[in-house]
Amino acid sequence: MDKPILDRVMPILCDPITGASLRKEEGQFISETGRFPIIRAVPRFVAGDDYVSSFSFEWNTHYRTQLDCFRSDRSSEEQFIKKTGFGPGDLRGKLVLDAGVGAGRYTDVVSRWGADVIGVDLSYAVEAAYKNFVDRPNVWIAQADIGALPFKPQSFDAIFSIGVLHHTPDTEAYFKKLVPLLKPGGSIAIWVYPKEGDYLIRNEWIRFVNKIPSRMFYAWCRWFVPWAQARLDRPLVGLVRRVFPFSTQGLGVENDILDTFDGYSPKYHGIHSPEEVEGWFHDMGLQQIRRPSDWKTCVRGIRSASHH
Amino acid sequence: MNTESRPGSVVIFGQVVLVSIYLLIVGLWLLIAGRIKAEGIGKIIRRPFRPPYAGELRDIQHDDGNCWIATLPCELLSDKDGASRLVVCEDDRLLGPAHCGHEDIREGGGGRFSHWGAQVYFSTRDNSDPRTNGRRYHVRELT
Repeated sequence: MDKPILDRVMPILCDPITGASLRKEEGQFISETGRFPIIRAVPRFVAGDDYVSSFSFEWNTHYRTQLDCFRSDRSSEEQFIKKTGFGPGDLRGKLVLDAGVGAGRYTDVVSRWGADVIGVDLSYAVEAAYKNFVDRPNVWIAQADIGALPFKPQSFDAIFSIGVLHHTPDTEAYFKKLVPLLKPGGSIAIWVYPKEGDYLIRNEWIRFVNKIPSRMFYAWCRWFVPWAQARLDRPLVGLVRRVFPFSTQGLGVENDILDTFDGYSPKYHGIHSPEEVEGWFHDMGLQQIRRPSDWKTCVRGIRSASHH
Repeated sequence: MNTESRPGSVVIFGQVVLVSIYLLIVGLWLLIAGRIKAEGIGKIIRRPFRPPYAGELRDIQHDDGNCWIATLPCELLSDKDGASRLVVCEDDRLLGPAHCGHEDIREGGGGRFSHWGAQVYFSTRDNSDPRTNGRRYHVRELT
């Protein structure tokens, strides 16, 4: 049975290549120019998980680790508010795009706030997200590429993309593909990796580490992170931590294993200055551009109400 | 949903060993090539070959708020290297907690301290002036 949110999704859906409207027929979405199957209940607008297979692996392995609804805390909600500046009242009843949904950490937050949320991801993380939100009538999940999304221009009241765009081949270009999807007056908030600290060090490692098969590197993270965390006061581990920064976020060892894997396994790892990110917002004519918190590369802006 | 079989413990052990060796080689190359800076590495290598440091805190200077600063030998591993093993004592009582942020020491005091580079940032238990309260302040390095 279709979820109620589909009534809001159908009018904005389109063929990601031609822009032609889509209709739902016989277990697939069809336009005059293309067919997009629904496989295991998730619409697929891409043929595979392309360059993001590590995310397919990690989010289907850790499909509950970071979701507040399973953790019984508010860690993701607090982080979402800090990184976007959005509060519950800002998004209630709005149509919101989560660009790079993963297992649905932030979709969980925003859908509980009362927004209708469309979550897209290029990876098979969508299967984890679908499973997490199968009973939530205001969440719709699809596998799609941020570079060619199946939505018509000016469709969304708000868009957020937290920790995702730097994993695309071109952070700036992919950000700029999101902006036209905003309605006039709509808000967009993103966070990308800053060009500083541990992110700079990981940038040196990543081309070597992302060649390791995901399962092997994950097995190593499962051994290494708990081992190192139990020895943080030892000088050698202190040195290792400076040379190979691993996660110690205080949200439990499973989160730290996931976050360490996540930090070193992707194919792309863009790092950017706050000024650079703000420049993208200016380029796109966004207004009221601001950084919602001391996370320097979190930037938010509003599409001009007169923008056509 | 994960119906496929998990690898056995021998396979996992082998994977961990292989990845460890690979990462060690890559890490050494990144260090030698200067792609990653690790200023503390020499101190860590020398650490087992020298006796643990112990000494009085002298020439104590006021930093700000409840925080005081004294100079230590620069060859000691500090929190800047992610690896301080220093304890600070007020007379015969240990101060703490260690590894605190400097702003936390300035505001909170109460014995908080941090060993950062060639200096120790510390506070007294009652936030009094360590230069005039008549107590003795000394440090030692844990083995």
